[in-house]
Amino acid sequence: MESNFSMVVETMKPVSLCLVQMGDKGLELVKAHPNVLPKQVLNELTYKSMPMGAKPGEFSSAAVGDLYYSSYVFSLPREDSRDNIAAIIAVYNNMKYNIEGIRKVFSFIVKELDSKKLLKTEVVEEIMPNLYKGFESGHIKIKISSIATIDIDFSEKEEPEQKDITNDLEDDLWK
Amino acid sequence: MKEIDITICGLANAGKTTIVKYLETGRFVETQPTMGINRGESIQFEKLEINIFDLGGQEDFQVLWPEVNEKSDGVVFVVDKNDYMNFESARDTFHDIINTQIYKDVVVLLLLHKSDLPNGMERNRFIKEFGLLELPYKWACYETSAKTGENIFEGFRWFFDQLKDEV
Repeated sequence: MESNFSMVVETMKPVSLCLVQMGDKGLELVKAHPNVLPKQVLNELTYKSMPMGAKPGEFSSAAVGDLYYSSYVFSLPREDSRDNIAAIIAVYNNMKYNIEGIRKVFSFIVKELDSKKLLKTEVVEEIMPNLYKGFESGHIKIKISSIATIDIDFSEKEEPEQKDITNDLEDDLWK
Repeated sequence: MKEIDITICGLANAGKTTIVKYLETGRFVETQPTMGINRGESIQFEKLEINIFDLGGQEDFQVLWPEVNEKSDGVVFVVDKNDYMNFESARDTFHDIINTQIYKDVVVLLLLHKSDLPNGMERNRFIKEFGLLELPYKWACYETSAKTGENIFEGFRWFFDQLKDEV
């Protein structure tokens, strides 16, 4: 089963994708893929990606040094304690990227993972390399369970179209 | 109508935002960690308009507290009464606020929170071990729960009554 949409984009390939979440002491970088950014930039991104008072569902774009980024804030459900807050970030070396496209992709992926009860730090971490490859190739296809796949095609000239296909699997593995 | 500012402080996951949400909505609301500072909705109490600054409890955000607390008319400090592991840290954080961030005429409300859970620290023991008996401030301590609503309105009624007299 596939949940998919297609969209027209300019450039989608980021320099890096980052995942940030709230840790015990404050915001922490969970992962950067590929890990090519200087530590100082990553530190700055970690704090800028979630502005003061940020709430799940918020999307922002700004600059860090010579780089530009777009960040989508979301809630990370947890069973044993209150939900956490996290942000997924796409970093670019110029402003000529499709900001609205990034927002749609991130919000779609978060929504899909959440609907399959797979919205967890380790799952987002795991799919980041595939997501990066997808941005690079223009076609994101991520298998998130044995029968569920997120499919986003950047090449088709249609407005975003979402096919919502429910999936009962909760603890299935992605590949 | 007089406008006053209050701050809600405490360690991460003490329940600060759920208390603010309970005040605003009258019910328990699930929350996520606060990113720095949340300026909640203003609350009207008799002739007071109360602005609530809900401060993120993570260590990294505590550097923001002094500036907000210095301008505050009242401070609410929330402690998770079941979190024995971080009791000392909560006490040190509280005394740092008291000693360095607020003026002597500021009203202090302590909420021994999550009283719906079993095995939490007793209020009397908390008052003694938290060093409240020697506190040179107008203060009160209530056991509260945002799940059951226990003492939330009672505690804040006392707090707002004191603020009304002070300003």
